[in-house]
Amino acid sequence: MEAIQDQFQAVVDGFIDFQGQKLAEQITTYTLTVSAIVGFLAGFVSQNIVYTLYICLAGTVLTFLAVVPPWPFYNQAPVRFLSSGSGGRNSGSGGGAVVGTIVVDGQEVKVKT
Amino acid sequence: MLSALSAYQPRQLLAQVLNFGLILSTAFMMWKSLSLVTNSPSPIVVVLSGSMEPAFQRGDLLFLWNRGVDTQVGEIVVFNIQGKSIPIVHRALRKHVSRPSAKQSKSRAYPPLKLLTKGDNNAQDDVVLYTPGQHYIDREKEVIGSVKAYVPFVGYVTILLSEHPMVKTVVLGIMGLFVILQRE
Amino acid sequence: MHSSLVRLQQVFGFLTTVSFILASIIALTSYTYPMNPTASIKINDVAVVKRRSGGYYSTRQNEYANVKFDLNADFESLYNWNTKQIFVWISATYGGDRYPTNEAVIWDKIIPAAAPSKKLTLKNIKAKYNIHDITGEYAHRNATLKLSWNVQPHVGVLMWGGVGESITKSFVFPSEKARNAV
Repeated sequence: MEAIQDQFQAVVDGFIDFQGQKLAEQITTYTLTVSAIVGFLAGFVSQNIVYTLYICLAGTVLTFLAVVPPWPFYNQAPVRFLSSGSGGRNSGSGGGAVVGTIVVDGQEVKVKT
Repeated sequence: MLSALSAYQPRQLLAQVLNFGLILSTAFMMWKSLSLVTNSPSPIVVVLSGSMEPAFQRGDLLFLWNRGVDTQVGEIVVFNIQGKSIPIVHRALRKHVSRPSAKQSKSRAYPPLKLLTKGDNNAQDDVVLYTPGQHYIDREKEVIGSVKAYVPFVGYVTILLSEHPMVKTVVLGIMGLFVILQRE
Repeated sequence: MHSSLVRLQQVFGFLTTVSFILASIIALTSYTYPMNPTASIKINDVAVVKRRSGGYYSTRQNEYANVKFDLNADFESLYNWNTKQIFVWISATYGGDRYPTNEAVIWDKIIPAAAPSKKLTLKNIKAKYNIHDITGEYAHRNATLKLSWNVQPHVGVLMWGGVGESITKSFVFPSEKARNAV
């Protein structure tokens, strides 16, 4: 039950990573602009405005379908967060290599991957 | 959403209210400026009836210009019958310009103009729509503008919202659902 | 663009911008087409009849004018991809005492873009509207018929025009019940 609820939540939220957001924005801009230009030229050359309407409508639907749902290819580069609990007094084994040190609450803390 | 309410900060709330008010008043100012430029109380109207088909369908958006005082026959005018609030979009069929009286020719810039209108899709002219006993409409008093440009379909949303209040509730319901379900 | 809702709003916003620009460009192309329609009118018959004006409210006797005419016109040049229909009308202009300028449409027609022929060849047709004057009588006034048109685009600015002075036709309203062949 929890798993289904989580999945549903993930779909409704539709969070994607930053690379995915950049991709989504590019797709939006290019698809809509290209469909508008192609639609205009098709209608103008054939002197029939119905072509323009259909091409632009198709482009719009395509854009919405490609950009709004959180497709997997938008989540190719998820943000890597630091693992919790690898700082402060707890100097127990963290399992990873030490990458560096940062200062937290006045104390130096080792950063592990 | 509920967590946001618990962190109540009066200054932030006021800032948001002011921001909202700024957006509203900017929109209002733009509308009123357009009204001033076109000299029409309602410079953009939505076609509500099918009486001008096939030229204008219900839901088309019309742009009006009210500075052409010598309205020609064949122009499409939008007018309000005195006492009725719904604007009517029809074509001018007949026009009679009266000879101004001595006082009128001194004070007015243009002589009084009477128009008879008819919808393209109607069999009869508009005398049945005017107040009983009225056979012509007055260009200055009842006409709010002449149609100069138009965009199809865009206004259909307003018709949907006003004639089917159910649609408004459904859309608001879906938006509310989204807001609640979002984990922000 | 991080959540579905935001992406939905962004796409919709950009769509509005693109639609607006596209509509403006389409509207502008309407100006690039030269417009030169041709027409000629021949008046066959003008008759003035006196009868009660319609409706329950009025018992006034008005003079009604009937005009019969021939029309030849070619509107081919007015049609381009942005034309939805053309509204054509013939109107009679005449002067008077109480009302110095009068104009009344006696006949009109809608020619949609899908019509098979954009030419009109009408012989001896009766005017669609029997006009009556605001004063109720016509009394030998001079009148001129002229043809005008209104282009209705799919999106953009409406355009009006009239076919030149050379095809206007003048006639005189005959007195009641008299027929005056022109």
